[in-house]
Amino acid sequence: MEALRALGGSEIITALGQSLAVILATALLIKLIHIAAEQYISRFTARAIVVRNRVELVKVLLYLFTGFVVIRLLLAARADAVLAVVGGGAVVAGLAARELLANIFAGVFIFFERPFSVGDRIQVGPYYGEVDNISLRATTLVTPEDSRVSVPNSMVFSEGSLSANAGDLEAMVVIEFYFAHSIDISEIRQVLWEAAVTSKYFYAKRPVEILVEETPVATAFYVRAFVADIRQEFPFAADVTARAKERLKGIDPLYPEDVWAGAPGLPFSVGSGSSRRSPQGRNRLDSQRILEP
Amino acid sequence: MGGGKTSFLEAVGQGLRKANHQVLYMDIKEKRETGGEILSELARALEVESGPRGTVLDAIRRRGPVSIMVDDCHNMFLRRVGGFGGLRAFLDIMIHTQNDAFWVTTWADTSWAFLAQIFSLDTYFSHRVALSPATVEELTSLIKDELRGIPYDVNPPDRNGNGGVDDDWVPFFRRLREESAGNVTAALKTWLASCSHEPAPSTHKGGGLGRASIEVKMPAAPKDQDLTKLPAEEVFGLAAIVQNGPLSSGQLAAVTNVQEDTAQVILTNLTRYGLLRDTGAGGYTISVTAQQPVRSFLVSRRSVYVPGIKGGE
Repeated sequence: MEALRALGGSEIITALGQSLAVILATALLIKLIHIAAEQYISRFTARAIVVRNRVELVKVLLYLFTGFVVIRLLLAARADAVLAVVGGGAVVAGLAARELLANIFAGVFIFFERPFSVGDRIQVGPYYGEVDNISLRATTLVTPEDSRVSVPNSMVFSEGSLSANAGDLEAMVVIEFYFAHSIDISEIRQVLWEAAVTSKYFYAKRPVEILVEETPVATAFYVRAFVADIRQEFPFAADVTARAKERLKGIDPLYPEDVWAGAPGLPFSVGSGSSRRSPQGRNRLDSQRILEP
Repeated sequence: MGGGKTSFLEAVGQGLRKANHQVLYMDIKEKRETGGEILSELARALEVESGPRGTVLDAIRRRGPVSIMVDDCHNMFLRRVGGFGGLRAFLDIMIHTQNDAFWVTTWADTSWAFLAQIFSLDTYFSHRVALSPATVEELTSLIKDELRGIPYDVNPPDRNGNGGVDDDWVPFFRRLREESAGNVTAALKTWLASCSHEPAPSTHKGGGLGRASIEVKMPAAPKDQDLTKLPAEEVFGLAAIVQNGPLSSGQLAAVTNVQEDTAQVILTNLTRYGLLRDTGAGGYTISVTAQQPVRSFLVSRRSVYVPGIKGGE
């Protein structure tokens, strides 16, 4: 403290106080913008993604502006003193916070490169979920289990990211079904098609397709349909699965009998139900035979 | 011509009859989900015994050239698994008799939009006529025509004598058109619901009734309500009714995959909000004054896809 006073402490303390006030004001402003945006979105759902992305952009601009103001304040106080106080620690902190800096630089690139945006469903490494927030340090995902995962921005660059809806509110959902080879394909296709188009989550603006693939252990069906809002992805899959199973429960045998879940070398877990197909899997389907509903 | 698909169908039928064409008329008044039900309806219209598909096809072919008018075709399906049997049977009969019969069908626009998208329904028909909503002038003229027939002194003043109404009544009719989305039937119902009876003044001696008058009060429009605050299940319920037409609690339960008790609660709540009305035949439909705001809201929420509706894409 004595050293600080010797270097012109009152000026520095004032500058630090002003900087803190600017930072707090920025944080408050960002909070208010968030609240206003969410209220707007609750009334105009279709514009949710656009609004959330604008908010993120405004946030970055505010961060940059705040950083600029704080640096100006500190330098105006007394640059040499500030550098003397901050400099020594900065070298140590910089080494310790190398990861943090990598994340921040990655965050800046995310804002300008836009590989995904708030509201998208993305996969980064082992994590899949809806992008809830993109900060300078990390991207927050909400997983299907409703958990929040904070993925460091540097991971987006090192692992790569896959966006399921690429900025659109609507999104394609692919639901997988595996049935015994003996089933009547046309009957199953009709039931799956009806289960998809009659779901309350189905978005009729886009086409629905039922794809069929013959595998050594089962006949695989893929329902490809759209939901109006990507947040309905899992309710849609659950709804289609439940109603299709209800309709098909009289068929015997419906499922393959001579295989078991988790068998080495099998491409899937055999049995009933459906699962979300990741974007990688969706690309694989594109080369397969398409049967019109 | 504004609104009224039934009136349109009747006009087409009359025109064909005048040209000495054989015309059959069918109205699918209630939901018919199975192929058997539709075949029975067709058999009844053809005045033959109910039978399998071949019986109906033969009956149509035996008639020779015939025009078949089918009203309210949106009742041939219910949006649930297994609910398209009636529609499939109808389309099957239709495409197999295209050389023997001239088919004219009417559909609710929301049902058409849905079926056209998923069933490629428009490929089954060579021509499509979209009835445009009635203009303010058409509605005004129509309501004035209706008023002439009843013993109440409520004709809106027409001092200019040009067949319209005075300027101070124009905003009322404009609002009426907005509330009814230009649907003539809905506008008339709104008008009638807006009128409250005022007894004739007792100045007449001799016990004559005189001419009573009506006070016109526009009911509060549901668009003034905040539909965005409706719970998701109630929104799904509204969307189901818009796309399927009038539904009972059992049908709503089947369509939205909820318990029937829950469906009944949804219907009761929506009726209490003024968004639905009881049809009196066991079903619920969108109330007259809620047509436009509910459809716009559902399209904006992407719960219903109808090209061209304000609020949609």
